Amino acid sequence: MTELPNKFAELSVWGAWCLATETERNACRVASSFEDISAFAQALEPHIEAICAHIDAAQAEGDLDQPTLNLFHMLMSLAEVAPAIESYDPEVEVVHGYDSKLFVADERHPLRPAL
Amino acid sequence: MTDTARLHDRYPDLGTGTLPVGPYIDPDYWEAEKKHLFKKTWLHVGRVQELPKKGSYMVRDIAALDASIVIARDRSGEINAFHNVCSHRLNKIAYQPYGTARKFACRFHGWAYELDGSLSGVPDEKSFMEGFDKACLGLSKVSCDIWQGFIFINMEPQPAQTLAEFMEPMYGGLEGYPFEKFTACYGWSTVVDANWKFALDAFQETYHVAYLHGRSIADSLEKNEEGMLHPIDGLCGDVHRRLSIAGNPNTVYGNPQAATSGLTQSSVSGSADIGKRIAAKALAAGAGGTKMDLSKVVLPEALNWTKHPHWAFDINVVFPDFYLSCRPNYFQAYNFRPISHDKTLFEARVYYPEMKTAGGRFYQEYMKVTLRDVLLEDLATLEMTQEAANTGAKTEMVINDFELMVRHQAVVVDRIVEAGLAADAAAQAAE
Repeated sequence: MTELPNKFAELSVWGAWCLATETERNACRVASSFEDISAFAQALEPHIEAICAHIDAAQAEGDLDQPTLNLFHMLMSLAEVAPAIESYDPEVEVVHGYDSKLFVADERHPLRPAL
Repeated sequence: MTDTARLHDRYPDLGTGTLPVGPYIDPDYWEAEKKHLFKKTWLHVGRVQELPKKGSYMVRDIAALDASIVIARDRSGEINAFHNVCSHRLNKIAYQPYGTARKFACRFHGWAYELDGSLSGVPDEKSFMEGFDKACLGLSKVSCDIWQGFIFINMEPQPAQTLAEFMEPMYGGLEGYPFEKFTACYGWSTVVDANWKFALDAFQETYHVAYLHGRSIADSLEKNEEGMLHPIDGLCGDVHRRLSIAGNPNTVYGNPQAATSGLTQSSVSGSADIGKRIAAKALAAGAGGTKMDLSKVVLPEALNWTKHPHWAFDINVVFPDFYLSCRPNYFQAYNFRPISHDKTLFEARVYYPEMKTAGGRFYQEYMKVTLRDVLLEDLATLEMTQEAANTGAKTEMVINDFELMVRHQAVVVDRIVEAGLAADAAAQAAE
């Protein structure tokens, strides 16, 4: 199971969402059921502020360890599923949309933020 | 129909009739566009920050130019462009889309070129013929210039207009927009089976927003008293065009101050709807998250040229195929790069300010993913439009007043193509 910082251990059941790239996160979203992404969002949403505070504190100390990085990637996955929940319910993909797998994210662009 | 002044009234030369479909489906028309338009104008290829140091280079394979172009920063810091073609027995000198090099070398026989394109190394040089002169055998130069940090190239060795002259009439007033402050770039690309003009048209009117984006961002644009999403204003130049758009500040996506000011509340916070709660939290978490303080940035007056209180962004189409949409807190730069009469490479990039906080990144990721999904809605229309055009069932398209930019594009392209074809015919007659 993907390791998270101790105080967020209860979120470990959502460890499959600790994905480092947009491409992986989108692939996970479109392969999930709407119930899955909703449950993930419901579970994570109350912790947004605490997650942000934890990551900012770790970064301030120059100690962005793997569990914290995993937590950051989980937070990015919440952003990934947000439009589906907000706009496309009950679909996980864009309704009548172009295939997201064909709209390739340029993960290696020189100006893309590392985090 | 209304009695109010129409955008079209300002531009009587553009006409008011239907638009012919032929230019969107005809392979011969595309060949004429290539010859008389794309190979004779300035084309945007990227930002200077993509070439951060001496030896940084990028390669752009551009079908509309029948060319592969290397753009590189040389030892003096200058940016040059040249054809990716070795002077000896051809082959290439750069093989990756991006890279850093001390020199460029052809993999075939090892000819080596300096970062400015000059030839510096020829293995077994004395075996070449008498009069062999390295100084005359550099890479073929391509005209290259920079506007506000955007790199442009032009296939004409002596362009009819400098880049500054090309941009000034419509975009001189945008100079000073903080392009250089938005250095967190996300991009996507795809090849769509659609004519480049169809592709661009889907992004230069707001008429489609209420319907096509009805589920997603339609609410983030401002509606008029009749509930219609009309642009604030539009400007048509000799070749360029601009649209000004009003946003709904009560939405996250339509809020131009997000993350750049201390503003943290929106009317969607506290909602029982989980989707709206995430959006509200993204906005709140993003507040003050930028690395640089952008609150004191003064935007150029030409940006929101009508000074509309709810102005959200401008759509600027830099002729022919560069879409540049500027907001107070980020900008989008799209290229609609034609490959053939019915294929277009769509390269979308969005440039945000760099974030220092996790909340800032969460807000940015939310905005970026929302934008990507909206683009997926737009892209879905293109191939069907092309397929429908190809059937020949309709030979004309009907245009409303606020689709003026669709008309402007068609009329300007046709003016240039017709002038080119007429010049060709005259030259042929003279022979």
